[in-house]
Amino acid sequence: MLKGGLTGGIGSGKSLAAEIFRQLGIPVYNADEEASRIREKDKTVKEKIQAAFGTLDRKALAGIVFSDPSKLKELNTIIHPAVKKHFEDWVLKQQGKPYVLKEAAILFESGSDEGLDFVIALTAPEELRIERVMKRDGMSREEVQARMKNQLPEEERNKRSGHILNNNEEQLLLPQVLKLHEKLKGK
Amino acid sequence: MNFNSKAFTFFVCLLIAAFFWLLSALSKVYTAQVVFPVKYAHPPAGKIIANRLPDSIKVDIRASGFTLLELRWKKKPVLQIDISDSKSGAHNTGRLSIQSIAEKIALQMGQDVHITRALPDSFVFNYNKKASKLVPVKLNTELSFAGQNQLSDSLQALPAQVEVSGEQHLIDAITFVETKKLVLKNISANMEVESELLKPSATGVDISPRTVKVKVPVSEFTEGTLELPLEAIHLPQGYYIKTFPDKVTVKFRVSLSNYDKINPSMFRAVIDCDKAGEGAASRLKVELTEFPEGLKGLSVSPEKVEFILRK
Repeated sequence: MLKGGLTGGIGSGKSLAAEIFRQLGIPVYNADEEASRIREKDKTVKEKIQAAFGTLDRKALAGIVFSDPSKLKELNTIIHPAVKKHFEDWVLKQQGKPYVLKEAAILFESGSDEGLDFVIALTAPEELRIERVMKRDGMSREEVQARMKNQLPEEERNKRSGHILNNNEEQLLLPQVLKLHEKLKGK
Repeated sequence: MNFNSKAFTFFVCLLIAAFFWLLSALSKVYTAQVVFPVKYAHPPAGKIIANRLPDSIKVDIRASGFTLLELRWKKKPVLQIDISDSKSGAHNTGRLSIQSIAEKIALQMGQDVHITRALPDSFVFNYNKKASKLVPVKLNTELSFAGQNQLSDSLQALPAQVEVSGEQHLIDAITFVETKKLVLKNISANMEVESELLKPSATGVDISPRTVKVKVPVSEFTEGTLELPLEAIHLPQGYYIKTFPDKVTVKFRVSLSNYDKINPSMFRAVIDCDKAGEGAASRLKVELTEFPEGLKGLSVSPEKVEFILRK
């Protein structure tokens, strides 16, 4: 069974694409949600975070890691192996499916693409992504742009992905997903 | 006594003499021509004056120097012409000669005034039937609110309609009466403000009342967000539709007092399958067909959804 990644910058439409794949019967693993759950529930992970950062408080942690890239890397080295292990266990339960997807906003940045057979990237013009997030989350333009800065540049992400889905309002996403799904099923 | 003392005494005496001469002169009666502004009162009941009347009269008066001096230097009184003193004429007319009301008018000018001549020497009044109707009040406002406060309902004028009266053809042309611009800043609570009405430009048109109360209902607003399932309407028999996403987020601002009363069952988000292209890939617009009253800034996200329509 093939293992794929589904990624894209903030506001690119990852969740919508993931939902379409789910409707097509493809299991989608939400790595961001699972990472958050593991950070709060996994005893070993919690102990390592407490030892390294002196706190388990989510806001306090965010304050530390977003102001210091080396701390962010350190946090990722604690959480991501646990997420990776959890993903591998999850994959074993998805037998009989043509492929599975791991949805992650920072797939390349966190090294979560390791061991995947292919990566699908969602792409959309920056201005459109900003507008979507501002409308969806009620964030200011500056807040959206600050989050974008913490993510891989769109061009770099697209270059490292084998499949690109354009979610730019001009092209429909659904036919692109259906076409890609047929292609992946045949592999 | 030196020369200076003599000169001083001379000038003092001269001043006293001049003063008494002035007193004597002002006590005498003189004739002068004075222009007085006039206004007209008490037209016959149910009638209005159709012709244009002079807004001032030129009067030759006889009065003491004191009175004339006072009329010259002080603001002249507006003479009130009482139309009820006029004599009725043929064809809805009235006539009033100044001579017949000379004493009445002279009293308005001063105590010892006598009118010798006036121009015009009489007034002719052409009457028309007075028409009236109720017209709505149009509010002209510029409002700004403090913090999260906003209008919780429409502005209300009390009364909402006022009576305009005057000549029929003038009244026919009036469809509303507007208030003077009401500027209210930093509003943070309900308000009730009196506002003057703008008089219609046509002369001879009256408004009653001249002012209205403006009620400004204000409430503090907060933002609300709800997730709603999408409902398909006009779905052909035997067809199945799947939308992406199948839920939409609705955002709105609602008064704090109503925040807890808002729930998803009060909304209906639909897509119209009639608007789906036959077999063609497209997006369907999400429409909010039901939502509670009093919400502001209502928006739905996403505005369009992709779909699969299958038999």
